[in-house]
Amino acid sequence: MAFYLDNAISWAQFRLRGGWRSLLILAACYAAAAVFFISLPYELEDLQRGRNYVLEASSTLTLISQVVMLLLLGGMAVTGALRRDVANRLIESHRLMPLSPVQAIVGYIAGAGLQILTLCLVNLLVGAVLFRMRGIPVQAWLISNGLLFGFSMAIWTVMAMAAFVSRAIFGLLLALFISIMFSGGFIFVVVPGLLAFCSPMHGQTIFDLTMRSTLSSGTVVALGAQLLLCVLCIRGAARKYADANALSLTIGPALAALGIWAGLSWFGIYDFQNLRPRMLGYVHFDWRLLVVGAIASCLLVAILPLAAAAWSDILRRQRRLEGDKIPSGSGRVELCLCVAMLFVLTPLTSSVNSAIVHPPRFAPVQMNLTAGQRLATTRGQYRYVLPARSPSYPLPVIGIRSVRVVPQMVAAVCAIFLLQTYLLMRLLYPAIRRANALILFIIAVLWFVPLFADVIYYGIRNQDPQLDAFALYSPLGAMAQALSNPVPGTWPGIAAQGTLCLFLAALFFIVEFRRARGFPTSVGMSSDPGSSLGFPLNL
Amino acid sequence: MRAPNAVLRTNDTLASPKPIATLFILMNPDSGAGQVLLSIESASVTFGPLRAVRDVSLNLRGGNLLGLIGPNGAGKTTLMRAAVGLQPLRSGVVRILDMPLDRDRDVLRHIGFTPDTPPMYDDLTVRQFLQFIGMGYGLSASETGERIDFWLEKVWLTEKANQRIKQLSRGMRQRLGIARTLLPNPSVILLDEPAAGLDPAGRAQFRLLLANLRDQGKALIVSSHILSDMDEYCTHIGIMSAGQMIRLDTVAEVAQSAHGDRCRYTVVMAHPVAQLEAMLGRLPKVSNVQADGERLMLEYEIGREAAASLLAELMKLGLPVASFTANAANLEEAYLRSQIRQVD
Repeated sequence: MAFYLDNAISWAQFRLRGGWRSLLILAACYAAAAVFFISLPYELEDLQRGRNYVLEASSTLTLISQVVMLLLLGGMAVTGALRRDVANRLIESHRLMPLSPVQAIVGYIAGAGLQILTLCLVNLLVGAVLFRMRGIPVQAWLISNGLLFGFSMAIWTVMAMAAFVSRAIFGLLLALFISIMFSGGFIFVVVPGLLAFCSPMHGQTIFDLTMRSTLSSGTVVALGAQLLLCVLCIRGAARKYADANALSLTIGPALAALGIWAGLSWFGIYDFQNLRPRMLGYVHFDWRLLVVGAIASCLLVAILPLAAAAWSDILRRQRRLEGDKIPSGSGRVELCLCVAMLFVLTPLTSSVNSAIVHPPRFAPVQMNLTAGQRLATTRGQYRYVLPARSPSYPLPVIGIRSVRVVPQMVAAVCAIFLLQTYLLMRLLYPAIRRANALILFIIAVLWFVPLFADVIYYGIRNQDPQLDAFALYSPLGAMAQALSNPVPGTWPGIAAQGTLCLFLAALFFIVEFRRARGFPTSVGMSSDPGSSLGFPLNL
Repeated sequence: MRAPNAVLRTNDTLASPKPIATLFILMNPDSGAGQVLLSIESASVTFGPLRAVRDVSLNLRGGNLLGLIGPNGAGKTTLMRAAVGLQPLRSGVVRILDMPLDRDRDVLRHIGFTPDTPPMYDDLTVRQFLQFIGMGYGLSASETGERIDFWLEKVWLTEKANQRIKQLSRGMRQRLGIARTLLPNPSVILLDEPAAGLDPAGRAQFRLLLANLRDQGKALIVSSHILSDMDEYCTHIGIMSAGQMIRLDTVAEVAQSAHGDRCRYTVVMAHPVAQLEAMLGRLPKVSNVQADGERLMLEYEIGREAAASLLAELMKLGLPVASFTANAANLEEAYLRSQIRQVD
């Protein structure tokens, strides 16, 4: 509590929400409502079995309300507090105080989220009582809530940083939630990084309410990633707090974020069978979908360091054109591209886990399996067997070496994409104010239009869609081909992408030459990358 | 007008062909005035291709009150924001008490800045808002309480202490903004259009407050368009145009020098006279004749003899002169004669 009394920002945020009086009234009303709505059906139920059902349902509902409050309401409170102060320029007034930026950001998170945290404390107590009544050790409930709290803190810090850049950040979080729910968890297959990052939130994790002191490897990885992300985001938000014109993620931290994401993606594929959400059921997914999805998501995250490098190069170039004697900074972009390539290609190696390339068949738990045939799971209803160990599934199991993967094709596609994006940024950032929206649109067109063209092409011919005609001109289609036995047209498809890159490079050099000669090619470049470039390319 | 205790040296003037204005206020060593509190060295601020502030330098010592004037878009606000660290400099350095602004956050304790529309938490009460400011500056609760009472009394807001800020009028908010700035007792105070929204009594009170702060040895920069007020409390005047400080001097020198050897005269006729402008335009040494009904303004040589001679010429023309005034040298005259054009 001393923190709230010492930190001016958290104190103000707390006061703005009504202070102690409002907090205590809200908490008391919420507790009374929770007790009423749980005890009423419990008392009305005569049978012990029915009463147990009421307690069980109440526990789950309490946890769901924790999730909603911590993730959605808490995130909304933090984002709202920051956006309000950015919009009415109170942040500038705060900047004049001798308060460290990190302290200020922590103050926003703690102050804006205090009411939500108090309600969650009420939920925690109610849940503990319910567990006690059910005769289940309270430890599982506490661990579930601890994991949820850690995950929420990561989300709050991400939202705190993004609040400086975009007004739509809460909408994006909501859209992510909705897409997870409505896709039936399929988004986790397409984005394995998200699968690993959210692992405490799905599958046999906190909603099972059966967790003990031993945490699964997925949970440990997720917690580590969440912690690292918290550090990066608080640092980024603090930079934006201290200077509205600064990039929140400079090249180094942005590469670190990419590294974390690449690691999560790798783990998400490698341990897919353990991490896969229960809502996916027994559906079998082609391993190429996971790998292409992981690499594509890494390519999107790689835009962050590229944007930082491009922006810093543009400013450097502009100052050199104006006569300032500053170093050219050569080599930084190349290094950034190389490190980004390394991280982007990381998920490719996850297929060394043979269970990914040749997925196991699910078997009911009643099957008489030997210990060697089982992979560790928590308390799920189903376990699976490795085909390599089972004589019933005589499939070759050597991971990436067992199929004709062409890694150089994947590397070429990724390198071309990164270069294209960098050149687009260098061309568009100084020229138009909302460059990021246009860049994202161009990326979407380049990625998806050729895929849709194939769907239409094969649809007209009444054949099953294949990714082997127009799709080869899309990075996604070319990568999908490169992960199995590529069709002959794959290299030409990649060459077409390379030609586009060469065209952009030529255009870039012409524009740079004209700028150096003093031609007016800039149309009002803003000095505020955060606000003008927008979310998410230039966090 | 207060006698300035500073000697100004400028190495750039209005007539200078150089685009750079580098101006220094250097205190007279015998005056016993305070140390340099704010130092701006070759500050430039750009917004993309626009150079909002161009190579401005100045040193401000304790007891200096610099009034910044200039048309809209001249760069006054940007210069003040850069001086407090809210606007990144493209080049140059700002030092507060000889400490670079971008190195140590503790230096922020010595700076106070009120923007033209001070931002506030509308849902807090006046006292809560100032408590928050006190906490932000690391003041103890008792010290904050004392200072809040003191400054609320100074800005006439004691009775509003427990009202929510959203219930305050614009003028009251402006006064609260000033109280917020002064609560941590900064050495360097920058006020951007502080008198906007204040009623006449509030303005008079505000002038007294500024003079008081100046006499306490604080360094102040005030940007305002109310020039008639500024020559009352400022020690120095800086005229900005297109991002440059085109003139920086004591109030007296700015007012006097702009006048030169010409003076503006105001003549009121007893009744309208036809073709008055043309008639007076033919008189020797008369220039800039502007007639508006019965009121007439013109420029002529300065001095009592010249005034008498002009009046005699008017009488010779048989004009029905009801009143004849030689306008005294003041800032408004100086500013209007500085040929600064409004930015479109």
